[in-house]
Amino acid sequence: MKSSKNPHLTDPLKRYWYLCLLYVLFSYALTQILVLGSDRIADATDNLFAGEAIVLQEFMVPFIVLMLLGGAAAFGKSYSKNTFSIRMQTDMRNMLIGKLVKIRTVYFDKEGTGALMNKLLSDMYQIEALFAECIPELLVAFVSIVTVCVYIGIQSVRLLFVTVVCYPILLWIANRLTKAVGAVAAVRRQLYDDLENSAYDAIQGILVGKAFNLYELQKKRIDHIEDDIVKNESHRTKVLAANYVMGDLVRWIPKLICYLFCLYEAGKGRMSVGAIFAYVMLLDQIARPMGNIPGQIASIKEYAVSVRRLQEVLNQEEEMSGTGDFVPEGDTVIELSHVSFGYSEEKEVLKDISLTVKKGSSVAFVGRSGGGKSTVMKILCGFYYPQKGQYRIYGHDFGEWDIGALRRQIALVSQNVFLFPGSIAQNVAYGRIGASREEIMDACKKANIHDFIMQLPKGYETEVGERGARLSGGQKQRISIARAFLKDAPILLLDEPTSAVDVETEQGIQEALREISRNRTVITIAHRLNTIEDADEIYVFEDGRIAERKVRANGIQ
Amino acid sequence: MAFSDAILEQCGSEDADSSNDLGILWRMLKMMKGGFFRYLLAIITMSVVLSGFDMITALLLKNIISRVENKEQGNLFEGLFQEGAACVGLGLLLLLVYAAAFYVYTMEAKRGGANLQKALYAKCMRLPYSYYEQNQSSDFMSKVIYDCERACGIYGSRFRRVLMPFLMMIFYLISMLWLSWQVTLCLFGASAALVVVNGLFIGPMQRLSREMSATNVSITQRISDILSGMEQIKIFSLKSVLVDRYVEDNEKFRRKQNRMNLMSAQLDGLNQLFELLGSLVFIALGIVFVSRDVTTVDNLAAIYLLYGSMSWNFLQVGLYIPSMASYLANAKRVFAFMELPEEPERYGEAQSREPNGKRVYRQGAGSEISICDVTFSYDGIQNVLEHFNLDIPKGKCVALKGESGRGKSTIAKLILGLYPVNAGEIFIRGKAFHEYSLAEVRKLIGYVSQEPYLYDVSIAENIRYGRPDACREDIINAAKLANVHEFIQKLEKGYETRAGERGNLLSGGQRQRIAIARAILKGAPILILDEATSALDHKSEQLVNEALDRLMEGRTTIVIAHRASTLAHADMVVEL
Repeated sequence: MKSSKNPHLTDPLKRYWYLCLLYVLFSYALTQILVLGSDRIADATDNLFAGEAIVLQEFMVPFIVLMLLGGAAAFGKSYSKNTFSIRMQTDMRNMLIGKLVKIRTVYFDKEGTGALMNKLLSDMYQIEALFAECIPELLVAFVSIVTVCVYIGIQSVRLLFVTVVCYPILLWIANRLTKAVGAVAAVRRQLYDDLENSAYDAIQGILVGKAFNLYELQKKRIDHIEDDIVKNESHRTKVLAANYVMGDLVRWIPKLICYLFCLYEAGKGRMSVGAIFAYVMLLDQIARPMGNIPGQIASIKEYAVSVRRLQEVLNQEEEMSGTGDFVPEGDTVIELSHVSFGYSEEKEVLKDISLTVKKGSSVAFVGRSGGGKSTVMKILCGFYYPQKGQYRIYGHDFGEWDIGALRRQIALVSQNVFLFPGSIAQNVAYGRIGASREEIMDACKKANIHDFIMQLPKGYETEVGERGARLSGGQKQRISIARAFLKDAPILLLDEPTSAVDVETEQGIQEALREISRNRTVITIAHRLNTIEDADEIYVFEDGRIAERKVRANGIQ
Repeated sequence: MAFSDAILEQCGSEDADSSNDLGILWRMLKMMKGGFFRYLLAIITMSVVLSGFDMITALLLKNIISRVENKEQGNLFEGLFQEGAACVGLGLLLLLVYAAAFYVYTMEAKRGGANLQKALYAKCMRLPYSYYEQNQSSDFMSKVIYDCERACGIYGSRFRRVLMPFLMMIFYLISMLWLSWQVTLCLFGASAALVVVNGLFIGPMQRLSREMSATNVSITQRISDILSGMEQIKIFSLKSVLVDRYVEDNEKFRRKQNRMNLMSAQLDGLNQLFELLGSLVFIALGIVFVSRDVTTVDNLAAIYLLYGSMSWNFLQVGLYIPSMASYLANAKRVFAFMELPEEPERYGEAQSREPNGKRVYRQGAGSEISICDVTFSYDGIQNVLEHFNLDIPKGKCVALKGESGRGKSTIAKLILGLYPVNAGEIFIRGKAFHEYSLAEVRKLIGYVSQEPYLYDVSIAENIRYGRPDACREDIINAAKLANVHEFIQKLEKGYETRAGERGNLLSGGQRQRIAIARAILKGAPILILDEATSALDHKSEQLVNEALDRLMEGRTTIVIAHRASTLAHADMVVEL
């Protein structure tokens, strides 16, 4: 399970490098065409000076051919570049998502959904820019520079020498300045984050804000950060201004020197007016890409951070999985022996937990939050792995099971129900993909939600989720129970299923839960006493240990 | 997901009708107030400097070529040193001026942006409470923040990017005309063709880009779904279904991108063709004009240089005008948001629905709070409270009981002045509600909500919000009374611990006790408690109850009760 088989973010490059090559070739062709065009113009100018009559057609025809070729090359250049970037980003996105669903749960807990979302979106945008703009532009800058330099070199080696010496010195200075900008940018990002957080904070707490008349205070808090931003900008702008000045010098001073050198050469009779003219036109072609090189290099450094961040996602360990697909049989369903687990090295959340769950029994976990109940649940689902001890299910060690097969034995109803955007029917059907409409409706009837669904104007086709109908916590919970019904797994895990529901709706859910618990092995995490009335066995968790185990003679005491 | 909404908004259905665009731009610029003139001046200065630069270069080239042309006369280097030095000196001077103008411009832009943001955030906090209940805070905030960021982008770059190339274009044009108006006018004709071609592509490309944004939104949505539903995906083995669906969407997006790609490649090809055509026209014209002595080769060379700069700037204007329009659409939404009605300073008297004019309401004798014949509805259709009456005697504790939706929390909201009543009157401490400003009413009330919100500042600061001028000892005392002092002391940074986003570093019981400390510090005579529905574990429940008892002492209390123990405790139980 080592990183050797982890894909690399730049793997698609192996498939699409030819597009990039094509792009370079087109760029080269285009520059070559421009060089030839300039050459023609230089000749024409010299002829003009020599006082020779120019036959316009003779000059025009080849130029028109060049023009058409230039248009075609520009088309090819642009098309191959964009195709390259589009293909790259599509493949990279698919790769990331494919990986995402296989990563271990610990990573999501550590990273947080928001931060991960941010990585996947904003870093992905950065990388798109890298492949769509940065790399191609850098490549083409090199191609144009080399092509143009070769032409100048053929015309006059001395002139080439002057050109090549003048530019890099100033490029180097500009590069130094870019670094200074980077440092200021980091502070800036932080300030903007602070601003956004404070604003969200003020609005999310608006009830408190109004009840306690905190308007002025909160406004001051936000205004203060705004003022800091402006102050920081002042510093940043100074650095930027210096940078711009340098950038312009890079474009200008060498040009000046080169012009003067041309004059010197012309004075010596080594250069014609036409040659100067062609040189000036070509210099323009390379001055811009040369000036842009430091900026592009700085951007690549910035984008490299994004590449690294996304590669980190790709490097995450995937879920463990054996190969066994065992038949659920035997009297002992779940067996934990001496299981310990901690999110970090220092702090163990579970310490030496041992328990056995018999077939058909109902077990309840109670205890304070942080006691370890939910962590045990996550280990049972295979979200976390015991660091010490053993977890056996139907007599086979967890490691032997194929993870999919193991989860097929388990249905989970948890406190935070998530419905995927789509219809209600679709959401229930996720319990068993390919279930028929009758089966879905049957499951909903058992979960006490069928009647409610039928009342909705669109019935089972009602859209739920972010943009869909607003369902109450209890309704969502019952849909998730229907989903579990449809799955029809022998083991049922209930993670505080009624904690987010008010007392009135709880009744309906309890009924549904009682129905689904029939003939299954059930493990429930509970806060409220009435949820555990039916339990055969109760484990009390405290500080990661089982503090007490109560067995009831005949279910209800 | 909030993010996708922002994207969706960007390509929104009701896109700017362009006739209004200038008005919005003007409004944006007016908001800079005095800074506007410095801002505009800086942009003009920058344009002059940049184009001046190119002109110096062009003149230098002209000078050199004319020297070469006339070299037979033998004065090739005469005066060259002085001219060169003058050029360099002038160039450096211009650069410094540019840097200064750039600084002024950027700072004015930032200041303008900061002011806009300040005003916007202030607005966010001044809306009537109903707005927050109807709109998810994260939803509307992310929209507003996104719109505002883009609107600030008008100050920061868009306006300059349109105005500067435009100004520079004019400067170049003037100097070109001065060098040779005949050649310049002909060249201008060639540029016009370029504009027409580009114009043809704008419409279809915009349409396609709008489609692309929509697809992009759905891709974003899928990622967000996968992340939020990870637990379900794993336990129900939905990996392949959801990944397939994502890949499918992604493929759809790719096909759209490809169509766009094809179009922009065509445009690039045509632009290149026209650019070369420009050179061709230029040289052909040059040959004709020079041979007829209309102009000279040195002028021609200078014009060529300036023409390159001019057409580049011309393209820039074309490039940034559509993007400016899309930014203005965001600014428009910002302004629309700024015009939303705010929470009034005080509520007026409720319009009585009695046919014979006003009714006089009388409060119960000795009551701290009297709710007289109050009718209230959130939506104007269904009344949550109808002719509701309740007298709460001073210093007593009243528990409100009943199923959700019956109006328990509504009563609390009405007393807090979060909503105005539709009819009837509420008296507080002998005065009718409308005689108080909302701030005055709220000063009288301590409030502990169901899921107390803690701000992402230090715990000390969170408690201090109860009474902003409280000193350290007051805060610690309040924390002690709220049974939370010991816990805070145990934290690594004690009172300076940040409560974290939504206070999620703390457990429910701890958060509640901090909120109680806040209410204790406020020391208001009236207390509204919204009991938490979810149970706390035994020990923390005990701590919370103890703290509540201390808080309720000597105050008039309204409890929205969920637990039997609370009902037993109350002096009076009202069932709704």
